[in-house]
Amino acid sequence: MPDGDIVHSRLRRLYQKPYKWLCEGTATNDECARAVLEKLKQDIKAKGDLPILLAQAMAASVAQIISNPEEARESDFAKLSLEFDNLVHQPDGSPYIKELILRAGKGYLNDLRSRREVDIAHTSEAIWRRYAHEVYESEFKERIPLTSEHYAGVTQEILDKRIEGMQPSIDSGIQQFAQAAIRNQSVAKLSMPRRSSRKAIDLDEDLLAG
Amino acid sequence: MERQSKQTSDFTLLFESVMSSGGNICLYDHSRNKESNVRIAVDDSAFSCRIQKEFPSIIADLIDLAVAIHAADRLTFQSLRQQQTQIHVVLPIRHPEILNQSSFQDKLSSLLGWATGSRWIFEFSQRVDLGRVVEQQPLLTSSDPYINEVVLWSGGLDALAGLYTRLKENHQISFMLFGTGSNDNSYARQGQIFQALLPSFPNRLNLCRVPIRFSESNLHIKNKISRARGIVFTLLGSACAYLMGQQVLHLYENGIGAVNLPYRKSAVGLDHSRSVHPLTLLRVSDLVSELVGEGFRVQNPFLFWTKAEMCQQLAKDMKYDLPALTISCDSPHRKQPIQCGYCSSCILRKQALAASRVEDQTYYIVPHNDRPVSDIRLYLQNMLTQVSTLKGLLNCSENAISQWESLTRRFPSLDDIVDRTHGIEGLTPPEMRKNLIRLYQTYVLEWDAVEPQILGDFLSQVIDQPIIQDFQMAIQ
Repeated sequence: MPDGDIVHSRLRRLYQKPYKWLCEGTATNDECARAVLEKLKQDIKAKGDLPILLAQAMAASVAQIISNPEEARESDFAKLSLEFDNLVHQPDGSPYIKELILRAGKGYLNDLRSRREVDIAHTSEAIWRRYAHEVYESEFKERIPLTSEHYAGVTQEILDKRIEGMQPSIDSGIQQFAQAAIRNQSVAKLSMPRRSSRKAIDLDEDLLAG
Repeated sequence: MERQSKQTSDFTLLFESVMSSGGNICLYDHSRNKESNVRIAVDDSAFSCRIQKEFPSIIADLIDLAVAIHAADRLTFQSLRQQQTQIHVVLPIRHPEILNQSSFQDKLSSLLGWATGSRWIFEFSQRVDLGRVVEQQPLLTSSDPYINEVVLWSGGLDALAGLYTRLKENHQISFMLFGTGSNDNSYARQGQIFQALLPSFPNRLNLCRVPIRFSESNLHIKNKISRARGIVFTLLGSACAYLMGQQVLHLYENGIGAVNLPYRKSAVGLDHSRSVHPLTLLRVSDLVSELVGEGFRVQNPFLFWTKAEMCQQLAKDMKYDLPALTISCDSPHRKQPIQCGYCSSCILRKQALAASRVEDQTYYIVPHNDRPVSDIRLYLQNMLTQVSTLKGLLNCSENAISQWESLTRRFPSLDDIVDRTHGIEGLTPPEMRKNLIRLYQTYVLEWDAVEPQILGDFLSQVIDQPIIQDFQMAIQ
């Protein structure tokens, strides 16, 4: 394509461990998701707080222009999209990180426009959450090598199923990251979601007792 | 590498007046505390072919600006993933009172930020010399032929196929082909293709080249990810169009390449260039309009065409020898075969020629030469993954509204293209959406038809079973 494209064919070292876990197939979906989320948390921390600031600035613009998504016009979304471009252009920062948050902001606008998203009360959180998903997809899910045989001989089909299987846990973990990031105005203290504390049922236990 | 990337963020380039014979650039690399000097020259003598008697000084400034952007883009280290690079350009020009205006500066900085990811700051000072030779020689009479359309002439297949289509569609109009030809190979190639077309279209084609050349820059490592190349080309082309009395500069680029959607989400931002993206053309149009004080437009009439559709006229006339003269490759080699055959541009070229049933007479490394050391599968796998994604998105419904929602959910940037350019395309938003949906549907169908043929090139060089399986996986 014009002037050449850059393609990323290998996972960064950071994400090698969860990839191998997924391939090996011995860990549960939840354990695999936690391994990915742990690395994602590190990655997001390394990328810093600029996405939070930009998500908040984008949210302020949305609040100024759209009071009710049901009544928003096409021109409102076009105006907001242009405003997002300007917001992202202003601060210094890695072009890559700025593109990720811009992609998240535009995704949010697209959801509003298509009525998939109607909540404009928590816009900054919704945009930052999309940003975290963008990081996950660009750094891990869609950066996994395109090969028929993965680590430990696992096929692409099986790997796809395992990735799909852990998606609910990834979504839930990212949701918690987003709440914490916006609440603290920082990613410095992001922590892992608590493990589910389901207790194994003892078949001999009398559940009606007591 | 890590250390280098973090350090290289700020550069200042102090230009002497840009001259035909060369002018000095003093380059300060602030992070390394290093100063170096490079010379750059622009040969714009071809602009003596114009309709204005006097050379407009504002156009001379536009040429200086293009040269300065070219130099800065090539001489500075710009990272897309690390710290944003700041490029400070100090350039003497004829009209600093116009180019220093905040509205112009904002447009310029925004355009280059969008195209390169770097932060550009310009400081225009007053140029005190008489200018280049071409500025000092008023035309006594305009003896040049009347030109209807000025078009960028890169030496690529789209430029050829687009021009050929326009020539056959409009039997009366004449064209000025504009190229920069800044390296000897592309300069020669542009001339060669032009010469090959001349006998078929007498008195309808003219060629104008304005090469920019570095000198004393051998010791300087050039930026390999040159993302401002398209801007430089369109700015110089705009100068050419204006000098020929035109308010429109044409460029011919297929819609798939122009929009250049990411193959996978791992491609972010400028991993895919925006050289001829519709929003780049819009921004260049605004910038040039502001500079010349009247409406000016850079237009791509093939935005809704696939590359294969652009090649259909060549196929119809069985002009199989012409495409072989053009170069598409992103990393052309010095020795024959020049074109690799496995970068995305080569693959799209092969796909287009196959889908339009043009016999491909090009000699590529893959499949015609020894197999290269690098992984030849990479781009093909990524492109096929994108085709598969597009297929899934477009097959979600027969309804155009649902298809558009599906497409833009994955690629929200398509909304911007429609919102911002439907007016200048003379279309309503729904019309433009339908055109873009049709473009991607056509592209997917073309791949369905020619995929085995394209894969054949690769499989003939691959003997390892797992690699063959990788290709098969990409097809699924």
